[in-house]
Amino acid sequence: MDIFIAQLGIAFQGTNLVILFLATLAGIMIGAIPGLTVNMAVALCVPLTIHFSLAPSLCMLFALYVSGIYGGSVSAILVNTPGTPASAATTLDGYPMAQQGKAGKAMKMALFASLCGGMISIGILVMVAQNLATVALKFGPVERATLLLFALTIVGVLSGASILKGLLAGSLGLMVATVGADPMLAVPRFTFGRLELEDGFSYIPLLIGLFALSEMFQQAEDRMRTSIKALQGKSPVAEHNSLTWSDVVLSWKTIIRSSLLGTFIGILPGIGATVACFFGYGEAKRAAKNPEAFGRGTVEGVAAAEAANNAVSGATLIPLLSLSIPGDTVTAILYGALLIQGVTTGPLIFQNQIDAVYLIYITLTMANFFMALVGYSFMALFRRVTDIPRRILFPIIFVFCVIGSYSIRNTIFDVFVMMAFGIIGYFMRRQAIPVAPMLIAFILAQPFEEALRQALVGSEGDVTVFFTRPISAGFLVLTAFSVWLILRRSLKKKSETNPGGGRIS
Amino acid sequence: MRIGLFFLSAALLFASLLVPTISEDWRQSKIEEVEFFTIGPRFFPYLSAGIMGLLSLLLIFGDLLRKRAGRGEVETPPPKPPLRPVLAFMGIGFGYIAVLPYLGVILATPLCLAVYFWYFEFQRWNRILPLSIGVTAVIYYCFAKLMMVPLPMGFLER
Repeated sequence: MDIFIAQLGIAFQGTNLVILFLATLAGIMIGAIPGLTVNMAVALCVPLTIHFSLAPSLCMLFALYVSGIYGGSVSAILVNTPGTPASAATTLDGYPMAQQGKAGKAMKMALFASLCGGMISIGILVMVAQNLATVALKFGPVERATLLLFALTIVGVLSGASILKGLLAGSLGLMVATVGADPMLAVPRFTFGRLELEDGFSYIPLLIGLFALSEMFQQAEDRMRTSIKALQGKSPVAEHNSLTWSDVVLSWKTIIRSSLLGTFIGILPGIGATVACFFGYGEAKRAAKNPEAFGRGTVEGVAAAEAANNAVSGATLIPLLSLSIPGDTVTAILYGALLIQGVTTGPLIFQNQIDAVYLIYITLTMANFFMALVGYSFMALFRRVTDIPRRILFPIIFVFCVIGSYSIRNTIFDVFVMMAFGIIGYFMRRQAIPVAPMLIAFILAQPFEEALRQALVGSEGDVTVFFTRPISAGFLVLTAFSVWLILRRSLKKKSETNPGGGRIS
Repeated sequence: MRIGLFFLSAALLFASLLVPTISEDWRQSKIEEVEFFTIGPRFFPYLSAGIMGLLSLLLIFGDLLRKRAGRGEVETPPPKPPLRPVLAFMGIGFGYIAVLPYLGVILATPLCLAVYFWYFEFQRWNRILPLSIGVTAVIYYCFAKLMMVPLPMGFLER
């Protein structure tokens, strides 16, 4: 308890509150501008955390993450374009509400549902993470290797439209991670005598390149000419601009259901907020008394989508903290940021760095409350943000990418690494190959290699050890079963849309 | 098909780059009557390349099957977005990075921003110049002064 109170004191320091406020403001604005994503914002701010201690770093990154997801709903409601993919389902009811002059009500419901979703998922994070870590402590290298194989496969399989392309992206991440000294014998691999490559590719330039830069390259395809006009109309009817008690009563069941669904989806690696938001929306429609009202502008639709996507934020930290498995892109970025701060995720964090765990819980909670506070107070400002032209923003962000990558080790080599991965990421996107499995595989490659080699050395090269130990065999069965389920669903979907086709990839 | 072939070549290239003399990768060793099993540093890269090669072959095989199933049907692929503006974006970016160590942040950044703004048709010089210089000043102040990050200063350092 003393540690918790001490961390509470640290989190509430003035500097951290200012950082929370500014990051929340920036997060909502970034989320609200179509084309700028939460991944990009968090990736760009990781280099800044090198110069901060743990508490301000967490405040900044969590505020950007949580408020960025909410920010996506602003443009989803006002311009019928989700600011982030996680808010795609919000457009279904949010925009019709804005057309009816109820944009204020929709935005307030999105904020309220986001706060509820976030808080419910934090509650589950606190209850589940430590217990899961206690189980994970019993794992040896054999179990760790199969668990990581499960995570890598699921992330690859679920991240894109094509299963094979997702898995290929993951295998590319594994290959890129082998550059540098081998983790067990420190033998240099693929360094070509270059000192800069001895430690492998630097994590931050790689993620800035893959997420921020490649996204900008993609947006540059139309020379950033596309302009978006937001619905700014405010209804003269006061009730249309505010959230009433009856709206809350109408939506509370939906909010709780969507929050729980979002939390469940967040725990599973590789799925993320975009799927959660559609899943939450679909379930709300299925359970609603008037399903025909969905899609025509109902607050319940907005609440369902927003509660589900924000509930993912706390839940994705469960596998990260307890098993050291980042479930989605943002947690993969957070994993790197925590490493920079000397915080090693995994089951031992609850024994060795419990102060950091408490700080994560506290700052994530604060980020949710700041989202609600700032989101409510500056709603009028956020309505205007969607008008900022990308042709001004993106060159500025590019310069930030360069300076951020340079500032890690003060070398231009890292900037070239960022450019190289930006180009790789862009061509992957162009070919509809998801980039998230590549980053997650890059992160998981080293622990996977260590566990695999330790397990095989321990069994003297006997690969049957993975099938004979019960937990390990369980993970292998789970991997095979999940792949089979997803493959079956994907083939079924394809045969429905293209009855004559025989597409496999 | 092209994606599969690309990844297959990448996997083969990657595997061929491994120097076969680093150490033995999968063997039973014996030192002074003590037997032990070792796995060398090439094991994991070979495994990764193998996985990628296998997946690429599956992708190629799937594409071939699809082609065979769709024989006779005319399938027009969706038009790819233009590459030229992206290459220009990359080119300006590479130019900026190349001159950064020589010109330094203070001179290279406003130049790069001005070129970008101009290229993306934000062509009002009375706005481009103050914006480029203002953004550079903010970046320089935040990184070099507030966070004490040593930024490249080019010839101004001397």
